[in-house]
Amino acid sequence: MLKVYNTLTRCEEEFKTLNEKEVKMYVCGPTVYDNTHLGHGRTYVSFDIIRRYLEHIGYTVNLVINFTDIDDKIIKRAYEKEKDPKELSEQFIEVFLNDMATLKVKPADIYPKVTEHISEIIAFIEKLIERGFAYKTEDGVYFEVKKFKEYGKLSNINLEDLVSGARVETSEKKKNQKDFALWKTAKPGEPKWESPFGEGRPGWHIECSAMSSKYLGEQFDIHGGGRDLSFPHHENEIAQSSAYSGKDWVNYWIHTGFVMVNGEKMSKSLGNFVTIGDISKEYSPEILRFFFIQRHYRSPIDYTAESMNHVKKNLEKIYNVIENIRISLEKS
Amino acid sequence: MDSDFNTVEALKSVFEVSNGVNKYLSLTKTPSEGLLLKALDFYKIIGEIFGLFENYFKESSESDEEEFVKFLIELRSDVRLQKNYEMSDKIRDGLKNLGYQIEDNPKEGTVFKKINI
Repeated sequence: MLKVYNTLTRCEEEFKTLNEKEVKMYVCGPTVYDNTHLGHGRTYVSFDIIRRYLEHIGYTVNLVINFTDIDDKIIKRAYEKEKDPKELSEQFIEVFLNDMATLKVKPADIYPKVTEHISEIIAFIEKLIERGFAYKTEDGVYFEVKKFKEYGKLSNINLEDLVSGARVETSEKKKNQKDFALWKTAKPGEPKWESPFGEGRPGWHIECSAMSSKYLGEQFDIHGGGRDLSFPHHENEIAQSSAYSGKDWVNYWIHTGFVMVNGEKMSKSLGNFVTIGDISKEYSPEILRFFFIQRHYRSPIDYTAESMNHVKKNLEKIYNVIENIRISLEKS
Repeated sequence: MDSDFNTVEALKSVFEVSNGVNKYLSLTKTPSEGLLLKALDFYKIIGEIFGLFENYFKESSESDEEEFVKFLIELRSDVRLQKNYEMSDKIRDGLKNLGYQIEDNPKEGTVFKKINI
């Protein structure tokens, strides 16, 4: 019997699917403004192993991973590189897919892009407004967090204790500072789309709710992502999707642990940012994959030369045995 | 793996099996083919679940390449007989870079292992 740790309940639960032998799984994909990094590697390899094991025990897995191909970061990077945002995101989507193939991560069944689902996102927002959970302002459309009674249940956060400003845009137009953007009114020079709420583009959170519901239905089994996405991103997704359907949304929330480099949190500002491309120059991708496997997906992991060399030796040991078997069989 | 996809525990089992197999091979003069095939199957399954050894198990049908490796090993033996150890080491190192590790075994002669990591 498979047991899975569910972030939502903070305990290991027996795994039961909504639909017999099928597992519907959504994992938040990358914002494609830069090269695939070690954290991405860890997250997607971990979910790849989860997917492979589910398939091994007899499930068919329907896996959806999105591409956030329009976002503040993409716009900023495109401006810096004097490239069109669409061109930039396409470039990094290709990098990501190549890196995943290198790491032997089985492809998702579908990789929906935000820019190709604007109408679905708009329809989703319209329904939220209709049901009284969202409101329009001068600078966009916001989700009214107070209207969703269960807000905070994933991250165990009390609405009153929330500190404003933590990746939530501050704005005088919002009814409540905790309210988050579903739609952002267009700024000059930025990509924009037509909508009933004026020209603009989707907020970050709504895309995952809209796209996952399109491909996996109103309810599905597993939603995955890195731990750092738990709040506010996943919390907001729950609010959006449950408000939309009036039902409970995802049954199992699975989060992968943090990645450190030489004992420090990986970050560009610390100068220890590591991409899959960088690592591939020094170690074979299989060693990196084995490195991820050697720690539980929920535990933090520390990338050091020492641990990689240790992992390489261990992998060699296994290959050694397999070869010994082969040699022995050839003799008989 | 049933315990929240515990790859750490799963790996412990893999190493236990590996140690067991190595011990068995070193102790038994005529290892059971059936047992060995079962062991190989075990690694294939581990490979599928962990996403490892893919290239290895795919390439197992590359007998032509192996013929070349065997030929080079033969050449190396000749060269060693002539006491040209520099050349012998060069062949060994070259093969290692190509993913074939050579082992000089007193019982079985020189064997090669495909370890391409």
